[in-house]
Amino acid sequence: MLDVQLLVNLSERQRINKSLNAGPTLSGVLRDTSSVIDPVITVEHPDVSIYNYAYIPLFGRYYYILDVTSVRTGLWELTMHTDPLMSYRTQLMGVQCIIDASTTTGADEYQHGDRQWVAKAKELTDIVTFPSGLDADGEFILITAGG
Amino acid sequence: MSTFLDLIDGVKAYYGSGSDEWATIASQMSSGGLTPSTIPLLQQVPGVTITRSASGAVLGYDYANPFPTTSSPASVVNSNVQTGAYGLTSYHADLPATAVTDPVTGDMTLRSGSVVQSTGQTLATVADRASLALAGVAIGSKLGLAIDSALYAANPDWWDEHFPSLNPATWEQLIPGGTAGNVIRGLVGIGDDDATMYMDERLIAYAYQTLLQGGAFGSGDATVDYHGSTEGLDMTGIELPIQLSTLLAYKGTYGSSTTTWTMSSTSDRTCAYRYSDPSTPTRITTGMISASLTSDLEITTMYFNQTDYHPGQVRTLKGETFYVSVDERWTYIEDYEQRTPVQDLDERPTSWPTFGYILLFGDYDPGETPAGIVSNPEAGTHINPTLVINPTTGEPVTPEDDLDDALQGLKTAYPDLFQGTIYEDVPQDDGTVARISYSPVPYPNTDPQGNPITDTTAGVDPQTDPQVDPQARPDAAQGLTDSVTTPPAPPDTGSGTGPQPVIPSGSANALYSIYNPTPGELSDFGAWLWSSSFVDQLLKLFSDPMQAIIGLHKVFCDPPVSGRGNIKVGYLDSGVATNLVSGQYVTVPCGSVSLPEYFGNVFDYSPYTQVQIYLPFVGIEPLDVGDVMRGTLTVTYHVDVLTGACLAEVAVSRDSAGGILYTYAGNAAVQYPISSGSYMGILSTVISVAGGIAGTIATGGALAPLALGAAGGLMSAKTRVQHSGGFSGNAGAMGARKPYLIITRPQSATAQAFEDYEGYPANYTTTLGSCPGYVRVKIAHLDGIPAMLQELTEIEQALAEGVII
Repeated sequence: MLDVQLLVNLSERQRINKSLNAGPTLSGVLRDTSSVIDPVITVEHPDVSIYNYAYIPLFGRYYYILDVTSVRTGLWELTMHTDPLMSYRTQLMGVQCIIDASTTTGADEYQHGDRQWVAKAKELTDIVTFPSGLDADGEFILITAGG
Repeated sequence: MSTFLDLIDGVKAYYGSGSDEWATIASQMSSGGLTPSTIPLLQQVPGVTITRSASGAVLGYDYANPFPTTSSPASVVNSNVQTGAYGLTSYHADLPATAVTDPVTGDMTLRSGSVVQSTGQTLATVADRASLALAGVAIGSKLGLAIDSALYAANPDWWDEHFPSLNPATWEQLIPGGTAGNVIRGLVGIGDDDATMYMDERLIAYAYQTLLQGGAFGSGDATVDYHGSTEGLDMTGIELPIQLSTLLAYKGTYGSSTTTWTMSSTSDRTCAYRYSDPSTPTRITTGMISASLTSDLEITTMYFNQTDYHPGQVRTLKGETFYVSVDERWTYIEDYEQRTPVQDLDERPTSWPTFGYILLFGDYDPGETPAGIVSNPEAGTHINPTLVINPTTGEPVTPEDDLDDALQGLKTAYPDLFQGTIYEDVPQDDGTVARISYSPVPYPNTDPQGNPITDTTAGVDPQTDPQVDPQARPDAAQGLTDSVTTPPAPPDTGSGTGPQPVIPSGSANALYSIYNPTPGELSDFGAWLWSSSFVDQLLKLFSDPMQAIIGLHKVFCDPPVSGRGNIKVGYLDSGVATNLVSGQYVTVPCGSVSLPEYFGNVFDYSPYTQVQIYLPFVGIEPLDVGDVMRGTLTVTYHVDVLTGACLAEVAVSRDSAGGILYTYAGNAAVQYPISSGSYMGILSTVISVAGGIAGTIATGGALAPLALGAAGGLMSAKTRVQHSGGFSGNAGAMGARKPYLIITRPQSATAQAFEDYEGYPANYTTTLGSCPGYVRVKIAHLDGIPAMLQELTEIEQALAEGVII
């Protein structure tokens, strides 16, 4: 028997620190040959279909509920898969990495990146004239032999 | 090192094995003597050298095994047979051998080499030659004198001058003949792990007499006639060579902390110094003060340290203003270890105790090169001439005494000087055998420049060829792997400025004339040109009158004029006054424009923003936006009024850097036909230019390369089209006269909140937690995460796709 806390996750899949709504903590039975990463747990509860997320304290991990299968009335089989981002969110915050793209930089970094900036087909054309140039009217130059 | 056996082999090779000559030589040499008739036989053998003195006596028989003289003995395979670096030339074997019968065993052996006098043992030696200076310094050191390199600097020929002149007849007995008297013969004894220099003991005695004559051992008289004033000073025991008897300067500032001396000198002066301890300021001691050497006229900083400099050392005074301090007993102004003179008063130590007197002695006549050698050493450290007694006269040996008497006097007074003497029995021409004794002399431990020499092993020059133990250093490349290469921060603007253009000067205005007529003057000239009177005159000179007129064109700048004059056509004066053009080149500045960023981000640069420039008489040319953005563009034209050629320069200045980054050539003249030939030439040029323009437009759109974005997108693809072709000459005159920029900018269509969904491009290293919002990771090392492998893989994949923090 192990405890499973059912949760509702409304955050993006990519979000590391997800926002969770707590649900009931149930005692479940781990199905034979289930893994820690992909556990299948049988729990008893009137209705677990509204929950899409779970936490198993014994494993120390958060899980996506991939599927809910009704075994019989009030008995449900939850197929889960680990969410490593949420499970190791604390350690991930300290991971040193090279950033490829982020919200916090900005186009004034003058980097092209591996994606093209989107521009319209229409372009703006400006003309900037220099303040002076050659004479509008020319000067004749006559060259003759001898000095 | 050659041996007796090598000689025998040489004799065998020359005369043949079993020859009578070979047998005779071998037999006589093994028995200890060569007969007079045998010596010439030996002399003919290649490699055999019989060294004779200048007087003809045989000094030694040597079998040469010469190596080329080199200053780098370690460069040869066997450095032990290579010459050293100081005055030696080539090694010779020591001959002849002597048969020796062991008194105990009765065995007979051949002994080749010198014999140690005290033990009778054989010492392998090689003979060679040394310069007089080397011999003088070595012998002087043996006699307790410190002969400073200042002597050599003052008078490098001192030894060559004084050695032979003491007693020429005796000198000729000591030196090898044919050397012009400037070398001596010495021996180098080869021990197990060292080498010792030996010199003829008679030469040692001779050198003693020479040094005695030079006053090297001091006057011993405390009442030297000082030319300065030392009244009130106790000079007891102060010894100075006669040559240094002049008191040049002295200073007594007892109680003051510093003093400054200035002494004028028109040439180098040899000087010695004495000082007094502050506790007894009037008692001049025999300690030495040495001056450092600097430039002319004034003494520089002085310092003294008795343990370093031998008393009596002289310095050549070159001088600058110097500063002196006394600190208890010994002190110095400059850094003693580094000998760095203190040049600035502010660099002196803050507390300088007082001192008494400092006396400066030098040679009397500053105009002459000092002839003194070694100044007075401290009593007790050198031999006392008063103890060297001539056995014949009973008086101290003088420079004029017989050499043998002088030698005997030295041996009697100082027998230790002759410990370790070796000898050779050298057969003479008359059949007698002369015993030549050699006494050890110390190797010089400094070279002529005063640099210390530490290695006394024969044949090795540690200063140039240090021999170190081989080492295996497998980690030699460790440094490379440990180094971290940090790329430099890219400059925002760059640096440097370009060279300025050089407008040529000079002209051949004797062969042609350039005029700047107005339209009215041109009309008058034309009227004169085609008047009948003109033709009548020119027909006699030219078959074609138009040969006198080279060209007519219009340029669009003001040519430099210098006054007015009539238009002359060859020899004829048209009488039409017009401006005379004085210079060929005109510079027309077109001013500057700035090109600031519009977006302030990547959109201001390629491929999003494009910059082109229109240049009169050149056309529209593209500019690299990276060169000109944020810069100030300056256009300058250089026009050749003679030909119409123009050069348009586009200079870019940005922050602290700038220069001419673009130059374009064109022709800024409109040609006017003055004959049918010239007209056809103009026309053909115009046609070719027009054809070029048409061709370019025909192909520019279809064949111009497309600038495609990466990742297969055409969102910012830009078709590049050439905007103009050739634009020079007559066609260019129909264009604008002012340059202008054509700046093409995009209109961004980036989605709102783009950064929250895709993020801005970034490329820096940071921690994930410091990037709020959307972040896409390029590379991450997931250390410190206790996840399973599959989980780690999923994390990496998620980071690469982008996560939200």
